[in-house]
Amino acid sequence: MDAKYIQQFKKGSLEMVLLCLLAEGESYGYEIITHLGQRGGDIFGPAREGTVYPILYRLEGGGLIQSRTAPAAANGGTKKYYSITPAGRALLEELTAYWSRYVSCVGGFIESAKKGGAVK
Amino acid sequence: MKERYIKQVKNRLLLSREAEASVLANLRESFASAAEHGEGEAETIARLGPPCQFADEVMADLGGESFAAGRRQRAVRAAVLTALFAAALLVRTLVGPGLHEQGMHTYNLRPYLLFVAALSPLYYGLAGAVILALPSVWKDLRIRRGEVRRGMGLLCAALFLLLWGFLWVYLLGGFPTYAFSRAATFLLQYPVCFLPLGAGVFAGLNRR
Repeated sequence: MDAKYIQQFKKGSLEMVLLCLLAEGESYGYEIITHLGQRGGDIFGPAREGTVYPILYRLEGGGLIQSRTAPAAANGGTKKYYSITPAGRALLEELTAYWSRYVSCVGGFIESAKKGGAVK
Repeated sequence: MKERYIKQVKNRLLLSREAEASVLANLRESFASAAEHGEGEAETIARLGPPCQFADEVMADLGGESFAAGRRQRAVRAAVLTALFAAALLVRTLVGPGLHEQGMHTYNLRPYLLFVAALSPLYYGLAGAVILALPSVWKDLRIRRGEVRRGMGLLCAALFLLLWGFLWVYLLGGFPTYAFSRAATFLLQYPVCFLPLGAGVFAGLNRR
């Protein structure tokens, strides 16, 4: 399959996926990337900082997530912990509701094409 | 290895100051967290991809919004510095001693002004500020480096060669006219004029 179609899907859904992850609980960059890789690596491909951090930055800029810096015990540095804000949670609820309708609608088209024999 | 990687990413990034700081802080944290989980620097770098690719990915994702913010910041900074510099020049011209009072003649105007500029700490400070602003302006131009960079480099290279050639012709006894001799004297007195041109050639033609 042409990679650009996959990219389009990923681009549209990754923000929602990150909001879902943060809705489960506070997390930091590396942990988010690891979870994303473990749970969605097959679909999203290897999670990369270059993709995830800009989204986190944008979500934070939009007030959908917030961050706090805490000292990292292991290396003496700091870690930025992200958590979802009430606005982010409200948006996530809207997005998930829309996503359900979206999947159902797209699924309807696919089923129809399958019944017509256009798609296996 | 890690610091070199971060530096390369930083050099490549064209974002607002806040966005750039955030991206670099996250990158540092990534290295730290990876090390905490037993991942070596080489492994982390392999996962992150080449610095140029990492920076390009981030910029593509953060898009024009952040760059536009950065451009606004740089434009404001450059405008303020330019205005300060122009104001200082104006003030110095208006309140400075008249040339006739100094017994100076018109043909001595340029060396006189340069002499004043060379001595005044105000000019040093402002010239320093302008020089400090140049990288920001240059960084802004880099977004269109395909078109601008090469053109600027070629222009600077041409000017550099022209001035250098001109100086040598003068030194070898050519250009007897007064205007040329004054300009050559100026170049000889202030070889620092070649520096920005040299920097322009380097920055303009040095492809990364």
